[in-house]
Amino acid sequence: MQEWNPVALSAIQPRHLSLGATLVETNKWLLPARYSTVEEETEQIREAAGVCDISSNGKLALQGGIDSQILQALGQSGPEAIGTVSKIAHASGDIVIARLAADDALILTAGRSSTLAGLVEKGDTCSHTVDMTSVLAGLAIVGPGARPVLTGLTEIDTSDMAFPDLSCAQGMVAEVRATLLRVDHGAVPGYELYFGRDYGEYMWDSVLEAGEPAGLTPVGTEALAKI
Amino acid sequence: MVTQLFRKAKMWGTPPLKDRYDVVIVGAGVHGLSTAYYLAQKGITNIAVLDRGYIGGGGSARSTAIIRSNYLTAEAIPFFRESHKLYEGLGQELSYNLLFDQMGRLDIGHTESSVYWLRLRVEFNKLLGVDSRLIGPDEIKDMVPPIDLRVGKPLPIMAALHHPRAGVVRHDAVVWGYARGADKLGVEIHPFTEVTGITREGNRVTGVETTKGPIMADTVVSATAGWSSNISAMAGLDLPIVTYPLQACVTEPMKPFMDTIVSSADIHVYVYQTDRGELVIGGAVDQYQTYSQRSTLTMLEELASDTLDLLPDLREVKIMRQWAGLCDMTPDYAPIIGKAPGLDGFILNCGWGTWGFKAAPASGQSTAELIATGKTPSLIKHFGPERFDNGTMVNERAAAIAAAIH
Repeated sequence: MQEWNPVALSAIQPRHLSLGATLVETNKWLLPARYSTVEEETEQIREAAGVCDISSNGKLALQGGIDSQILQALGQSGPEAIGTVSKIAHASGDIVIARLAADDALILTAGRSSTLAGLVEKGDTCSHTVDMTSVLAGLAIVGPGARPVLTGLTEIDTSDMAFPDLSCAQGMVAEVRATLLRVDHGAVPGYELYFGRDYGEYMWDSVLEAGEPAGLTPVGTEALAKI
Repeated sequence: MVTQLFRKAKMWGTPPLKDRYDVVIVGAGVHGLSTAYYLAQKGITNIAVLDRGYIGGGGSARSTAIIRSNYLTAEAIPFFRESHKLYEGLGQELSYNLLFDQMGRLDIGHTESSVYWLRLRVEFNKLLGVDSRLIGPDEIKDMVPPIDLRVGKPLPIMAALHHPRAGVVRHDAVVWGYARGADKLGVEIHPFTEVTGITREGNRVTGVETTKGPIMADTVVSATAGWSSNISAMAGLDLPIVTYPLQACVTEPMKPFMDTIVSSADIHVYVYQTDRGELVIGGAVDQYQTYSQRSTLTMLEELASDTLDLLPDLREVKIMRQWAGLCDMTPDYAPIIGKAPGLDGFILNCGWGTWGFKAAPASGQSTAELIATGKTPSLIKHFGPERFDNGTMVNERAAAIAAAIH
């Protein structure tokens, strides 16, 4: 019998196709593994900046009483401060928690969101989760030139003082409501941007346009994983 | 020469847009067109129905078009019962084949508590003249042979509410039938005419701004379903409506094997086989608010696994298409029909959430009567927007299984 294996497509898919990307399945999503070669793209990220479609990341909105019990279930000792991001090593991939407000967090993973849902259910019942994986598109902007890209697009203060590694904020990016995280890759600065899927291609174009002076180019998931 | 093979007659005309009408209806879907049709029947024919897209291309194009009246509350049952009756005579009235197939419907109960609710619905239905009865697993098996009756599953099949007159209608045909009917009576239909603003003089709505110029009107009707909040906001009105997407899918065609709609509020799935042999599968609304009509793999997986819970034999059947539509959900799962509070000349026909298509004939007729007479017909007296201020909400929990998660 033929194997039927449905995959999800990113809202930015048409742009990837027109750029001739090599698409590879990641967590049941078809995403660009590379546009040129992994070596070139890795170099690009280290020297300038790269933008990568990370829409496949599992995203879970956690709302209500975000108490220590839930965070303990995620392997964290206590509640973190608003506007900060915590990274937790987990068997199914790193889990990133962006604490957006007292009663609002965005939990992210490079794996599937179903692994997150299972973890959170172990926590207190006085809260609820909504799987936002499908409704939010995501872009990673990584490299020494990443910050200037954002300053042209948003009024969120992304300076190192205001927005150091492991920070998060909500605001308008390219006039679209978005959630911005700073998650550095070692010494290489990195930002993650999540926004409504309907703005996928528009945001992609806006980011590339704003990033032109900084030499921003599209990079695939393979290069991003190597940083 | 070849063109002569085709009918020259058009379903509806393309008259030039005037700058003034008695009534302007925003939204050329099933609700807007039925309102126009029944208004014209009452002698008000200087009407324009405007739509930003093509006719019936919004919510009407995405409905799975199940027609039933087995609701729960004393407010909703008579309304949906009247609509159901109108549907039964609608094909005849419009002289248009609506492919209304009254195959019957089973609402399955998987727990003691859901069977209790089904029993309650049956009693309310009987009292208010809707055919409903509770049946056991043997009779369910007779109607839907491939259904999985095994006990010991997390959600075994215990009983079902059988609603024999429930059916499925061809959604496009209803829209086109109403459009043609309204056109014959003198109504103008203007697709690709987007309303960009609503003009007011004090507390009186005086017309609309459109992409093809301003139009004056004595009465403006909002029948824009999923986009109702946006249209109402143009008039300065804040409605207690939130918009969620609702997804459905269709499998490849198979030989006919079930001729009953099977629905489960516990599993959040419903499925029926069309005349073409395809299975139409729908579920619950997505849990996030958006105006985006993209379908998602997450929901496809849920729909597939939920369907297999009821009909495991379908495991190798392929899904051909998937889509999403927008649902304007109200806090009490009941529609909003009536005069806009504090605003003259603005009529609301919205809040259709996941339960709108079956209501179109009754909502159109009631809205038309409201506009023509200025008085609220008793059928819709519970659905006015003032209920959110004076605390007389309807709580129609049985509105649709699709609404269950919201």
